[in-house]
Amino acid sequence: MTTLPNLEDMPNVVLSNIFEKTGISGILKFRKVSRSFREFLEVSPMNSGIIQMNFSVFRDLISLKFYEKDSENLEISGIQYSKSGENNCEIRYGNSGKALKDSEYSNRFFEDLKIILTYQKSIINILQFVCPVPFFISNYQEFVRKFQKTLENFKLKVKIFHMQHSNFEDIFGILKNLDSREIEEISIFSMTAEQSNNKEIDNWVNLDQWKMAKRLKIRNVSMDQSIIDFLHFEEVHIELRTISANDMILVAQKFLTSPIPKDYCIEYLDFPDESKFSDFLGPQNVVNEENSAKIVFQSTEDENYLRFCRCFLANVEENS
Amino acid sequence: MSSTEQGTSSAAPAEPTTAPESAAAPEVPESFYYVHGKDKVVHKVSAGALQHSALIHGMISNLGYTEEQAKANPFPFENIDGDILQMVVDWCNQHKGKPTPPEDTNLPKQKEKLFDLVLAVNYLEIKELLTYCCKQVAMMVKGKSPEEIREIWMIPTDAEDEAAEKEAKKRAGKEAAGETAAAAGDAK
Repeated sequence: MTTLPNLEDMPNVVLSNIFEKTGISGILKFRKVSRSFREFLEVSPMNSGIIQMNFSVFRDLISLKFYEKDSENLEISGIQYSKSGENNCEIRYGNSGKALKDSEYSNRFFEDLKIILTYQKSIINILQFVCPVPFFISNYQEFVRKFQKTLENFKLKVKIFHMQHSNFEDIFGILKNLDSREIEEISIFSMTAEQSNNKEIDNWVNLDQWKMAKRLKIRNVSMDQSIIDFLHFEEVHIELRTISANDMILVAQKFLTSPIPKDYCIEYLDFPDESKFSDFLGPQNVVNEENSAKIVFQSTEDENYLRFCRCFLANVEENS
Repeated sequence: MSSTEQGTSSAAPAEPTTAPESAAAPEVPESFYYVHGKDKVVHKVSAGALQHSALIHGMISNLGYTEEQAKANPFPFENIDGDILQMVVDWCNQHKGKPTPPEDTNLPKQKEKLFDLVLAVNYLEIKELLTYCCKQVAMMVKGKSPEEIREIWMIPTDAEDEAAEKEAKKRAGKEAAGETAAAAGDAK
């Protein structure tokens, strides 16, 4: 055939196949190539297949990194949106960059985000939000609020949800918009050690996402919650202000009678009736590890493992 | 990911049909069919190799041709160039009864050839080969800017598109006006 090929003339099934292979970076690019591609991409239900998404929020800069998997290779690519000058925005993709006049960088980011999420049909293994600069000089909170709003239209399937936060409200708005059937791990890290609005977590315990997750890690913030709210998790790493012997006996009994709990690490500030719990466990189950000041309780099954990191939080507070 | 899945899923049904045959009745010779493209050059291809093409496989599965009948009735693919059909036949022969590897680096690098191959493979419904071809196209646009993609694949810009559309509309408008004028003329 002597005709010069125009990619737009390819049958739709072929175009879908090609776009699936170019991944989300190709999809974003092809939307800029021509109107017919844009229209095609708007109506076709292909999957971009991102397996990990990392969002890093700085001051006047948002960086998005995504991991895609083609047949064998893991590909990592990223887009950076930043403010440049008073009203302009700069978008960097790989080695190329583009400056847009009279354009707000976060608006551009959220426009692209909507497109990216539209094509994300498969499960994301890891969804991560970090703020590598002190959060009060970043635009993190504003970013999170806008992200929550964007997410409302998508039920994103995520296995591991990892987020840095400055208050629990940040997390709630995102967590509730993830598909509860897929979530396996909730891992959050507070950027401020003390949080006034600790009560927000009361709302979480009613979320399906909370009930369905298997692993929970809440770092760097001590909570008033009762340990009972955490007993359905296989793995727990939390910091509580106060724990009581009665509650802890329930935890230990759960370990002895149910196959669900596997590895709990509970750090605490105060344990007034600790001796009652030690008596319950019996000396054969309590190991006082040197230096680490831990009480290790191990049930008969090897995989059930309960640890108590005592004094740890108090030490941190004294030091700081 | 998808290519390996497709590779195993479509290679799997090929096995039960060929394997028991060779095990139980090794004497039965393999059946052959004949295909030709635009250039009328006839290719003799085994049924096993043709299984890669869902279209041809569907055509031959209920045919029950004898060798003579098959020879006398080659399948005509007038929409496929001879050299492209040759490529397809070669690929089917090479991958006959074998699970397809995740990569195929022997595809044409020339975009015109690749384009024609994609169309032929899509028509013949050869899923694995289509996957390879699409991957090749995807590789060709990697690292290219939207402008470069437009140039490589002869895609008009939005402005050119709009201009062409306007032109077409204008022409249509003129024709319509001409028709109404003619109709008015007729009425008079």
